[in-house]
Amino acid sequence: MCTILVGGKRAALLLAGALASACAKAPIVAPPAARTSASAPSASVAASTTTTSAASPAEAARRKGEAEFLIAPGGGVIDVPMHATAICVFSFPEKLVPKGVVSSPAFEVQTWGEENVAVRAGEGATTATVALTTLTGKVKINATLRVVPESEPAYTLVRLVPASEEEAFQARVTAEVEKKLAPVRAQLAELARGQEARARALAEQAITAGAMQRSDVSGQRARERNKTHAIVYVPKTMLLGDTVYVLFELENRGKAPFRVAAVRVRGRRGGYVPAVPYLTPHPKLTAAPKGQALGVVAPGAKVRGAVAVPFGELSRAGAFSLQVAEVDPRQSITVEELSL
Amino acid sequence: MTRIFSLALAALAVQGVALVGSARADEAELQWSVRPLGGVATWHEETTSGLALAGAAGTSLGVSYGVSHTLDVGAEVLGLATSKAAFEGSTIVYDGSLPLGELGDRLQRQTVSTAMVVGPTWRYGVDWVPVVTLAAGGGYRVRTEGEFEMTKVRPIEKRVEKSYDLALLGRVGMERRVTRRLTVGGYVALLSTWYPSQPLFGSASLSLGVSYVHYPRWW
Repeated sequence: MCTILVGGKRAALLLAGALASACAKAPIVAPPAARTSASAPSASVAASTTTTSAASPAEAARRKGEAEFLIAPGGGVIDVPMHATAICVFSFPEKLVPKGVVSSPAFEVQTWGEENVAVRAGEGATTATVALTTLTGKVKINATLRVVPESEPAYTLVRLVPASEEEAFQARVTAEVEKKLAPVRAQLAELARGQEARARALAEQAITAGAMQRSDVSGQRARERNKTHAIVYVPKTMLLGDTVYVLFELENRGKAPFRVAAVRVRGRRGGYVPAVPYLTPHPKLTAAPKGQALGVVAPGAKVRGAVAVPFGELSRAGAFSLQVAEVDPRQSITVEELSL
Repeated sequence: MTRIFSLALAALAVQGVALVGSARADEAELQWSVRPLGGVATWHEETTSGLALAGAAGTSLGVSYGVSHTLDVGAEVLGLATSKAAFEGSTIVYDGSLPLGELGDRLQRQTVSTAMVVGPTWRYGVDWVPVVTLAAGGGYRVRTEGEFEMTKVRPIEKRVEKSYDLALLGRVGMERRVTRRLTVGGYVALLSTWYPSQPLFGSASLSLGVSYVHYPRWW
């Protein structure tokens, strides 16, 4: 559901100062899943439920034809798009003054119970304003009724909710900020998508080039375990171009989670070889607290991974070993005597 | 006695098959074991009236390989020697007198048995590991020269006898992995050996075992 807040004079003025250009020229962008403010009568800003996120709850509510407006104590102006074939119901929180004032006879306005008003566009109706107020005067609105084509979204239910000026201001600011941020967010998302595609393309190019240069698979079938029953199995190594991939499986048969702190490759002479580890996503492989581990393997789980090592470094190292390090070094597992 | 051993081994087999679905062994792991054992043995001696019980002690050496997380296959060499068993009711007649058994003398004899068996071991755990082994193979048995307890007569019918055997082994136990390389365990085993020309020999033993486990590289 989307909610539009109609702010009072003070709110509108404050907002005009803080967000002058936006408030003066553009309709407020309703924050997803948030109440939306409508402007005060004195403000030049017309309320709107325009949203930018197609998937937002506000947009979903608008598609359903519902809207909720926060009305500041001074009253508010709201914009209500309608379809010519539909009835739009205005729902108030308290009893209404029985007769509203409508500017055009083409619109039929009828009270429905004591707290609701039903409005229907008649033949040839295009636009009109209707003034409605509750008996206590707590909620006063001047609604601009606009008949829009069926292809455009329109309201069939409008709820009016009284609000303080602070609430109205807050909602208005939130809506405006959201409106400003929406295109930035969209741009960022687009950039991220592009980045991923570019990275993937580069990686595939590198892999293809490497495979054309040289490729070899070497069976290892080496295993090792630790005392807490975690087992590392190295089925094979793959050489692609200048990179050696050491594939491994980590099976945690113990009762405690295995926290993978690092995956390292060490040459026979003892030096560590620069390596880039990777763990295949798995439902039982969870992320660890920042900086603590690459991932946490739940008891009973078997995850796969690989570590990429420069071929030059490894060929110089002779036989090498793969170490899957646990946060507790005593539980680390080292598979020895691997070779290309 | 034959029936008792047959039933016991059948029960072990049923247990092994029934629990195999929940078993979790150590795939690709090689386990070298040594198990000193002690218990009782019994067999029937020809020309006597029945079975006799004797103490037995020995050792088994085994190796097993985890073909899956469910199952090991292994081979085992075991040997045991009994104390002297005393058989009553001997029908052997000495010096034209009454049968010695009727005179209250008992025939004493020992058995030394060795066997090599192969078979599966089901393992049902990770840290504490209940194990069930069924194995079959062949063996070699030696029965020492018989001697009557009171008269010290060594009848010609009871000279040293050597024979090949068929062997059947069933064992249940509990192992505990102490370190990534060391496992200890306690076991109860039934060993039965038989050959058409030889009486059934059975033993029940308790044993403690120590195993060295590792992942071999075959190439």
